[in-house]
Amino acid sequence: MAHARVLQWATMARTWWVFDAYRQCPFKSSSKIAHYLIGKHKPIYDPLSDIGDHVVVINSKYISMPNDYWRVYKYFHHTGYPGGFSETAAWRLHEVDPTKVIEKAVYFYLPKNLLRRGRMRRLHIFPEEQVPTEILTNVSDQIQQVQPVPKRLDEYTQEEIESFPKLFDWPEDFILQSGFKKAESLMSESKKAEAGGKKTETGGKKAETIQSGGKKEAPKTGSKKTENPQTGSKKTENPQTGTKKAEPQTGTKKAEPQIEKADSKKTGKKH
Amino acid sequence: MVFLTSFLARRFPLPRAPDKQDNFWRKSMWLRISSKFYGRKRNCFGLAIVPGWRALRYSTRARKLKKENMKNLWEIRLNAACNEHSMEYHTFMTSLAQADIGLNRKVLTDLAIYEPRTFQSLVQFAKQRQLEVGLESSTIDSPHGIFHRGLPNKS
Repeated sequence: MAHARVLQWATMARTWWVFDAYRQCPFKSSSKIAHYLIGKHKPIYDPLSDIGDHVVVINSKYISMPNDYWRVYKYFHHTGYPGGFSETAAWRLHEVDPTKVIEKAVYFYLPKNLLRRGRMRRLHIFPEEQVPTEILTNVSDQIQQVQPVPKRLDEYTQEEIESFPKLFDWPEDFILQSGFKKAESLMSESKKAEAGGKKTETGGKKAETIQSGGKKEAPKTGSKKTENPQTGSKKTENPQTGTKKAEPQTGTKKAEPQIEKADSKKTGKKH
Repeated sequence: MVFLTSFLARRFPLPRAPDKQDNFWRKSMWLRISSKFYGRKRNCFGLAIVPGWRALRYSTRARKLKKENMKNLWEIRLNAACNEHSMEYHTFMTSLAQADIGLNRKVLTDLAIYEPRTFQSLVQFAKQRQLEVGLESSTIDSPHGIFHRGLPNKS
């Protein structure tokens, strides 16, 4: 009899699950986490009985929101007094506490009854992979992720990028360069211009036409390129004054790190 | 109000006039319905009659809702039980129905809770049938500690 009794204990026991939230949508994963917190994965499920399991969520700092939800998705609060309304964007809340977005998502998803608070007590969220050992030793299984983890372009090797199948090569007139690549190409062109005179004149004009309406660096570099072939040599002779001569160089030097920073910010927001 | 013996019927105080007795029995019928209500709705006829009507309406509706709710609950439980053996609920139920296995959701749920090995055998049968039909590829692992000669074939 003892054996049967122990089996029953195993049926009623709370098991611990781990969920890796690395680059997962918090809304999709909240439904999956709530499924285990409610206990809908057990044949003994009943809506009024408290049979849910523990869920340990790791890497909650690295969740990814769909579309531009980091900016658009808002959390509202009202104190009850006039003028007491406030709203917080998701990115702001994530900055303050990286566990809060997924916690709120699960809290909203759970059924609104007296069991909700108790179920939330069984949800353990950690921003990184570091979990206290007394919690980690309980974990017996993991919940499958809701979406495949995407791979950034800089995580691919050069061979993989080159071997990626493509039907045809775009003509050069069709390729619009922007961001870091644009700065790179400008750098290379300016170097060419510095090295040897007349060949780059047409290239410089092209760059001007492409970058019309773009940033302020473009005309400076363009003017620099057009100047150089006239003068022939780079440093010794310049038609304009010394102060103006210094400007384009410093301008380009300043511009490069700015563009890089902007790139890193963008990519940082995406994932 | 049913009096099983005449002794009990005599103990109940009735109005003397016979024409008022009909009214008394009508009121006592509604008060019987409201006997479990909260507050003065329980004892005062004037307050009890409207919630009494509402209760009857609810009970009419609930006769249908109860069946739906129980069906939903069994489906959730069976879905969980099938997922434990990496099987889809609808595939499982369809293959059982095609094989003329006449077990309804309630019985299957009871089997999943109280006789998990029996349920696992049914899942195994469904997987075998899926293999034979060839619609879905599936893997079979026999339940632990059970010996059998083979799966039954539909004649």
